[in-house]
Amino acid sequence: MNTTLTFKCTNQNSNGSMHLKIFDNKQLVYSGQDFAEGALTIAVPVSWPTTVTVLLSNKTGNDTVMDENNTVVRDKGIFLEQLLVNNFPIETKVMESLLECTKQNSKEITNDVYWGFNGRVRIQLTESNPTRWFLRLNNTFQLNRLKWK
Amino acid sequence: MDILFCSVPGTMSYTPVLAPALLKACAIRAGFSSTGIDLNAEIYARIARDPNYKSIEKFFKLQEIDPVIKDTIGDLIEYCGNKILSYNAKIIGLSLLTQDSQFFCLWLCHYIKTVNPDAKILIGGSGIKAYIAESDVSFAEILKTHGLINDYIYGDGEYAVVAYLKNNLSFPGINSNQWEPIKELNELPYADFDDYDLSKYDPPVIPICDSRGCVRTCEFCDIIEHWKKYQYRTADNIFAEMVYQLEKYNITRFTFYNSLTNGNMKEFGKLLDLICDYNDTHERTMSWIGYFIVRNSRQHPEAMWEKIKKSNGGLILGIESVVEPVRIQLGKNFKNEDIDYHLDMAKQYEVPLLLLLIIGYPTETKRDFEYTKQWFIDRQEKINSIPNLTVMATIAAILPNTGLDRKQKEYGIVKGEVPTVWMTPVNAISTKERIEYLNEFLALLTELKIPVSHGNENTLEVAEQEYSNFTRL
Repeated sequence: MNTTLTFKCTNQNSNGSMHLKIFDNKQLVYSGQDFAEGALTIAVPVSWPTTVTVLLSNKTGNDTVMDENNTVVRDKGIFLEQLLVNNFPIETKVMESLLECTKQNSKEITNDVYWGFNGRVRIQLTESNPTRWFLRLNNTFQLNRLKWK
Repeated sequence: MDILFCSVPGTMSYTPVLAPALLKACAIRAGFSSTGIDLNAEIYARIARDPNYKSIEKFFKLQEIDPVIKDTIGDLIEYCGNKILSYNAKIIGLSLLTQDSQFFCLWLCHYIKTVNPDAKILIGGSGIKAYIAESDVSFAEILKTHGLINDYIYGDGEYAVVAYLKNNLSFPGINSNQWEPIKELNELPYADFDDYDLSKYDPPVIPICDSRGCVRTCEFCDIIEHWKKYQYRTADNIFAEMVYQLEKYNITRFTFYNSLTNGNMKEFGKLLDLICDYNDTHERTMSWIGYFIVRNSRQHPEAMWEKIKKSNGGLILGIESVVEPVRIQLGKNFKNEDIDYHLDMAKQYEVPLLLLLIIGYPTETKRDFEYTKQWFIDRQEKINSIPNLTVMATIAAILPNTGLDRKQKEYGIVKGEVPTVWMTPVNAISTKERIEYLNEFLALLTELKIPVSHGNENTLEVAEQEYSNFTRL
């Protein structure tokens, strides 16, 4: 089933931007670099069910700049704000649990929405279609329609 | 096919939804090919006896996904989506009768757009708004913004949908909260139920739109805020459709889709005469049910009751409160003796009644609660002697943009998060106390062997949940 997966991100640069490749199973469906600072939306076609892999590269040790208090003042990375499947948003708490992040030279899997590392992010899109998947994940669409304005 | 009209499941009822049949007729009259199907009743029939019905209903009304029903919900969405797509219509018109269809609608639209991204979806109906009196179209706008629908129609759709088919997107109500009510209901075509399997409804019944709006101005009511002017079809026009539908579908039961059947007494009296004449001369007689204003005995003389009986009429009476001053102040200008008169007449002429009551109206006191209970105790014998009487009690809600909503200051009302949660220092009765009172009242009716309709369970549940949330804060 053809599906569009949309990543809504905020990009920040330091010595350039992250490089990013997205695979639908083993097929490359997106490749990007030299992103502008700020809002970044990437929509990729995927064939449901599948495993989506985001490969992240171009992060160096010089990209994270700290001040005298060890506070990061500049960094290279992509902050994932929202993930949508055919325009249906995935709730933040659900989205975080889906992100299987593995940093380069590490076997530890974390759930990071800030992608300021070299490595990969795997997202498994299971069930026969997105509707079934949302139901399994208990992912609801927030309307707040019962509330007063 | 140019357009498929389909009701969106969510109204938990076996009654056929009128809109797809009526809109289909409008499209066909304008020269377009169309089909109108009612998935609402079909889905309700599938889930009504499910052991997890309560959980399924919570998905529809609150979008709660209990793990035990996720497969059932998935099946329902896929069934509806695949059925809709199987018609291969150029436009899919989804009709939402109430806001209870909203969550299912958005999941359904998502499924349809996933299977066929090119599907053109148009939604409409009073259910696209959170509350009918609001001009807020945020639900439709959210779906449109997310690409789950293409367009929406707000307000009366009979002419707007034809304009949409003609690509006239500037017609009032299309993708806008500015709409124009239909000026002449008599000019609408008769609904076309050819695509419904009417024999599957329990009982088989034909819905007929006989009027819109209301002649009264009850402060709690949102219908009068949506349809500001009462409009009605003439008796001749309604009766002609009844005969047409009866002959076409061989169904003799009719339900009037309206706020009131007897808004215009002259036309109502004429309609009764026409149905009575028909019933006198035909073996298979017509019957009907409709919302009915209570008036005094002079305005509703015994002769009228004889005709209601002969026409096999059933009446839905908006009593709201049996506390006379409270009822008159909220806009129902009739006396308790008029209620008693209607009960007496219903008993004498064996007219089925459904009494609608609002429990814990903002101006009611705890003394009024006790009075209400006693009122029913005093009338137990009379009520029980009416062959078919049911009471439907709903907890008081302050609906947005109603007269009651605008009287917040006057009544000292402090609103909560949902319409059923509010407080007024005037009578110092909390939401919890009103919920308890409703439960006590329903228990009393059961004890008195007075049939009760539990149409308000979900509203009550929402109120209880919200109240519980507040007390945890």
